[in-house]
Amino acid sequence: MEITTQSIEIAKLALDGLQLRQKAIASNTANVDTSGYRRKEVNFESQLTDILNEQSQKTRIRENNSCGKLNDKSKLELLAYLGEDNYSKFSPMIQTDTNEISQDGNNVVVEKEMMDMAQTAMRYNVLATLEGNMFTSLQDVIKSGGGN
Amino acid sequence: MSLDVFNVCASGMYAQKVKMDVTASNMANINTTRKEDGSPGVYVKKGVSFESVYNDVKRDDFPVSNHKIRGNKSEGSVVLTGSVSFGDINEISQGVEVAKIEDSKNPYRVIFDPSHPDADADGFVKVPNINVVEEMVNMVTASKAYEANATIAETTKNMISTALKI
Repeated sequence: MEITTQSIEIAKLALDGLQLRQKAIASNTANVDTSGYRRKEVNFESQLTDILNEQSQKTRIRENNSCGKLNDKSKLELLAYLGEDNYSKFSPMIQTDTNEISQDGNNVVVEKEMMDMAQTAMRYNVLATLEGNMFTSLQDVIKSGGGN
Repeated sequence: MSLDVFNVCASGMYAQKVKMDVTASNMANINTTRKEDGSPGVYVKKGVSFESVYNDVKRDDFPVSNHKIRGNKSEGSVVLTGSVSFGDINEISQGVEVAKIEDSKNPYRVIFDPSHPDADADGFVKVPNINVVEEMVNMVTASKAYEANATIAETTKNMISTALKI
């Protein structure tokens, strides 16, 4: 049995992504007066969806136990695929917003950055609290389980 | 946990503080008609321009030609000048720097005031070309941008303390 659940792993990745997004927001705000600066965005949600999908696909394959029907080579390939760590594939994408909204080439809108910041911080706090709760319940299990 | 968000915010706050200093200096010198040594010479209005700073530690493919490089390329940071071409670097900047404090290209206006000690024979005086409204606008934008950076630092602090409770 694995000690960490999928939720713990996914929340961890999402926290990393949100932290990077917070940095992008900070750097956009710092450059609010820099002529020619274009705002940067961090995107990672679709990657998390992909990871979750792939993970559930693997679970399905395991449940069907379809390995038996395959020849040795494909079996090895399948086992390698199943054993692969999906979570390490995660790398948030940094993209440049090329919309032109002002004459000096700068497209930072402070209002938008502040809203994004509030949202990012809220999501980060929620996820961090959830992550903490998950570990607390894991601890409860460890404490009360076993023994007599 | 990377704490460089605070450096980014600090660079933004510092840059806005410099802008505020320049605005204050412009306002203080609104009627200055002499130089430091007392010789006649009108105060020249100053303006600030900023540039973003990028970290160049990991990248070999960084498009160097368009950018000013500060220090050693392999370990230093890259400072991008005002050209638009850098917009397509998909990299989060490490903050902002004051590029330069420039003199205004249109430094003085002439008013008629024969009683002024620096008036010429016809009674005209050259005074700094400072627009109070413009300086006030600069002041408000600088203070609001400073506030925005400070708010982000504060929120990031909250985020980190929540993460510490895990």
